[in-house]
Amino acid sequence: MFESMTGIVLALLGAALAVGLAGIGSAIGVGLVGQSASGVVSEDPDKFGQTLLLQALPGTQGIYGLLTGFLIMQRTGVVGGNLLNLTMEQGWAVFMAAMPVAIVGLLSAIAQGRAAAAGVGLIAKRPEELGKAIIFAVMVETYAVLALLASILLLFGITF
Amino acid sequence: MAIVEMKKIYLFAHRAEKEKMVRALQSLGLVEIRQVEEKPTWKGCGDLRSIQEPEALHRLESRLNEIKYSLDLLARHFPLKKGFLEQFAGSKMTLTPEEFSTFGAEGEQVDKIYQACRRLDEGFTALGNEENRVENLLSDLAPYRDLNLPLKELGVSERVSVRLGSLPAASLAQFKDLLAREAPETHVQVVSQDKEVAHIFLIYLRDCPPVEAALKEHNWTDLQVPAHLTASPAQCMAQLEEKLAREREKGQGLLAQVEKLLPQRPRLMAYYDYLALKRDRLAVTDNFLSTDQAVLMTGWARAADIPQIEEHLAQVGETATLLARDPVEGEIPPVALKNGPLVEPFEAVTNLYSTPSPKEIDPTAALAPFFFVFFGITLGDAGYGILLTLLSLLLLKLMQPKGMGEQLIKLLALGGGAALCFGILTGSWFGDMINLPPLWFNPLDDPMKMLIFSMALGVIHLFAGMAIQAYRSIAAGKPWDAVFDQGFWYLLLIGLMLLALPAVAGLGKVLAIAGAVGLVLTQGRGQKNMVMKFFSGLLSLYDLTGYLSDVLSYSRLLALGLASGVIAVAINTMGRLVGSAGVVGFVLMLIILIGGHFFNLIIGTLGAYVHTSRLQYIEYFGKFFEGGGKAFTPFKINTQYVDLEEREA
Amino acid sequence: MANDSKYAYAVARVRVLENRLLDKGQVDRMLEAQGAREALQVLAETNYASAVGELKDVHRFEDLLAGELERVYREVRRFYPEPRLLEALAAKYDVHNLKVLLKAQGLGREAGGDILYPNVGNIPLAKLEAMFAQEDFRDLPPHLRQAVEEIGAGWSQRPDPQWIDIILDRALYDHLLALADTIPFLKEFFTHQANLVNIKTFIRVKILRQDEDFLKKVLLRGGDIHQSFFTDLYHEPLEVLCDRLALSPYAQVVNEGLAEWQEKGRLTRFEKLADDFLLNFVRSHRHHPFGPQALVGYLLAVENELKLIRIIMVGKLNKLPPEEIRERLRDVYV
Repeated sequence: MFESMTGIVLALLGAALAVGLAGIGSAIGVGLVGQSASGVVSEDPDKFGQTLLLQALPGTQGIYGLLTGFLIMQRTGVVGGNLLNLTMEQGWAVFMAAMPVAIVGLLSAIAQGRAAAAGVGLIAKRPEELGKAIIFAVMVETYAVLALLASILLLFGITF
Repeated sequence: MAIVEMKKIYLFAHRAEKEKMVRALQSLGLVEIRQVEEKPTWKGCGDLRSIQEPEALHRLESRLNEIKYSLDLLARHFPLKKGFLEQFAGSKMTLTPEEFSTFGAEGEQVDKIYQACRRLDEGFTALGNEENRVENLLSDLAPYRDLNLPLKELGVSERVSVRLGSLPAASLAQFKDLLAREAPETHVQVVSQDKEVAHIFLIYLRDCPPVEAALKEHNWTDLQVPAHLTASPAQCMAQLEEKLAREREKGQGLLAQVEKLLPQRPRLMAYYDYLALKRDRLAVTDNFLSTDQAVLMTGWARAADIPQIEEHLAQVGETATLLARDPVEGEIPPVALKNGPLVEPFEAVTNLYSTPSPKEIDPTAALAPFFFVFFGITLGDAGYGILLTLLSLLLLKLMQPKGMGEQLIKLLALGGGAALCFGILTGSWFGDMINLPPLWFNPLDDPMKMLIFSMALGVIHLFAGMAIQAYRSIAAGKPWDAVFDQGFWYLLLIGLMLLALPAVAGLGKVLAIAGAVGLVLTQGRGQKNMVMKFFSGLLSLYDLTGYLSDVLSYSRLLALGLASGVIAVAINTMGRLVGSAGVVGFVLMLIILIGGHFFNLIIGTLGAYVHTSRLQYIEYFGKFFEGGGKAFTPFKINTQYVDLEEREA
Repeated sequence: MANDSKYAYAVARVRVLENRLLDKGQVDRMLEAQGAREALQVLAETNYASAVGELKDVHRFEDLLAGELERVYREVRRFYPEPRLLEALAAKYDVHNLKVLLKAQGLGREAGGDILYPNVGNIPLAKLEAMFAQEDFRDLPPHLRQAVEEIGAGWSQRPDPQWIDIILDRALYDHLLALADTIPFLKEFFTHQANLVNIKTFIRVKILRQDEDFLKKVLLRGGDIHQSFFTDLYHEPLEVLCDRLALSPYAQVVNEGLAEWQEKGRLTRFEKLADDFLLNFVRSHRHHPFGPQALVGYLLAVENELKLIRIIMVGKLNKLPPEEIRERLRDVYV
């Protein structure tokens, strides 16, 4: 199997992991907040809007993953261009570039989900503190943003 | 800058005009009424006491509860439909003050509705219980459906006992064996059986001890049947089903009665608000003091509003006298903000963090331009900008939100404008859907340039925050604090940045060293001990990492800006892929483009708002803002269901 | 992580329910109310509104409290993901019902006088009564069955109602701590509770000068203050208990509780402080975003609130001045 493997396969594996892992993280995070939110809404339906806002927060990691995946596809010509013939070395480089967003995206989305779910509990008590609940959750996202940044810079730094 | 000057006011009026005054204050909505704290010792003011009317208040409260109960009952069966956006902004019916005041005479009518609701609710509970009982009976009888035995035959007759009941399926075989051995004349018929339980029809000689013992040993449970069920199980079940259907029909009947009450709902709501306002007026008098002749109330008002309040009160009553004075030492006035129309929406950003304390500067004007620019970069697309502005303006028109909701939507409208500007600069129109050349450059072509630009903006933002703190120190008469805490940091940070440019690296070195030395010497000035002074000073240089991470944090401007741009491109690419496949493809493309861009707009806006706010709260406010003030909450018309049209002033 | 999503929904829901507990202002208004009816009227603005509306006679306020307790347990049982936790928390009501029924049976009278909880515990009261009618206790959970059998066997030699309490309480706490074994927070909570019960028992035994053997039998096994601690102290004066517990978390409860006993000869203050201690223990953990803490806190708060209302109502019906009622009041959870 490995004999037939070329750089492009590695690059696509990177793209798949970026989209997949970050997406899994977001799904877990959003799901967790969703459970908290439905706990609150079952007693207090008027809080739907506010809790939905919090639920959306851990979703961004999945988008960062998709973004990275799409950039890889674009740069390697899988979409909208000619498929590049990558060397193994280039393939590994692209794969590595995808790792920050894949790994950090997975774990930070889960962590952010926990923070946001706790924020839902805060909203249940004190709806006027929505701003603070959001900030607590967004503090976590910083690291996903930094990972995304690293992935993007790495990708743009690779010459094909 | 824009914290409004507050005055403490004292209002005197004749007791007879108390009601009028309170009503006037409520409709004005310009005064925050507070408990009278000081016992005035003016000459001849006599004995001051508080006026409370707990009984009247109580009556109103329980009245309000009755209406609430009725409304809850209606809402339980016929929920009020609320749109998603209305949950943020709320929607009410609009009445003129004249229409509203007619509700005062509704008391009796409302009482009738309440009684009706009570009866209906009790009816529902009784029905629910009955339905439960019948359903339980049905499920108890179900296993015996196939048995053709009138239930009236059950029981003990002269010679035999006839019983229906169940025992654990596991011990069935044993039970049968036992009976066959000890009491072979017994009739045992397994009517039905599932994994756990066997349901059995049993006839045995009356008082046959071995059978009784066997029953006890194998945990026999009798089927409990009420006496009025006499026919066979299947017939009884049919009867019960019929009864259940009748009960359900009754429930429908009750529901229909509730529905008949539905047209009264607006009336109830309006009356609720009418009483709630009355309750508020009554509750606020708790704060007053009074003599036999006069009442005294105190509170806070904006200095600028005082002439208007005075004038209005003079129109309403003859005896009102208003005194106003500046807050004295130790008094903490409530905080109201005032900003120009362009800056005002940004108050929402400030208030979501904390109301400023009355002693500091309103940071709203200072954050507005940064918020605008950052929002523009993070959303970063001209097409999305236009869409966002249009949608916000539409919302503003349709829903007419008030207060913070209004500010937030205006904020989004402005943010859309910012995204439009930045999209023109970078040539992003729904990603690459419309191909216009960028006025400046496309961040996708040179992300490093954009990264440096983002961080440079961050440095400006941070320096602005430090400048405000320096200004505060100087204004507070501590210019040296400004030099030590901000000046030296400026030197050090600017010096370090210059080091990166070869042309001025020498100058940078000098500045950085001067700044660092200054910090080491001054940052320990709070400590008493000389050694501690030195070490605290040295340790303060560690804050450099804080500044570094602050600046790095602005890289999110690039990352998020790219995110919304690239996802837009991805949506377009997908659209193009399917768009070439005939009519179906074209329709599919439209769905992908419209749905995708709308989704991206929502997520992008959320991200832009949230992250831009964060940069203000954590990086910017951290440099100077304290917060912790109490927002000005004037006594005003506060309704839950009804919006009163503004009176022509 | 699996735990997170197990509890996320329930914790959030409990947070909203907590909002509906009485706050200090409402309790104060009840206290300051003119009479019992007025105090009840304060409740009409709260969660209790409909129950208050249906209450015809102020003296039957216990119906309202029992109804609320039942409603809360029913509601919580519907959505809570961890039945074992609820089983543990509700177990005391089964034991309470059993005690009342056993005493009634033993003393040959009706159980009408005491409060019974029909649908709060894990075993419906009707089922318990049926067991008593048929004298057939095989359907009881093993730990209770054993206790009932032990009581039944001993009753002829020693017809003492107190004995029923002792045996059932021991069975209860043994069972609770076994149930709580996998839920550390709950285990800690029950351990505190058992300790406080033991301290109170010890003080009682000393005051009533009961013998040491009796003490050994009465002490619960669940606490982490060992039995020998108490038996060693048995021959010392009561004050030594304060010294020995000075470094334990219960120092304040014991000191102030005993001080009041020496002054006024009653232990109500001890009981109040013990309740407050447990409430505070739970309160300090209640912000845990995923876990059983929030629910335990909520249920304890409900029970506490019912106690508050009971104290106020009894006080109002007996026309006690507000200050005197306030002395006996527990803290408010919210």
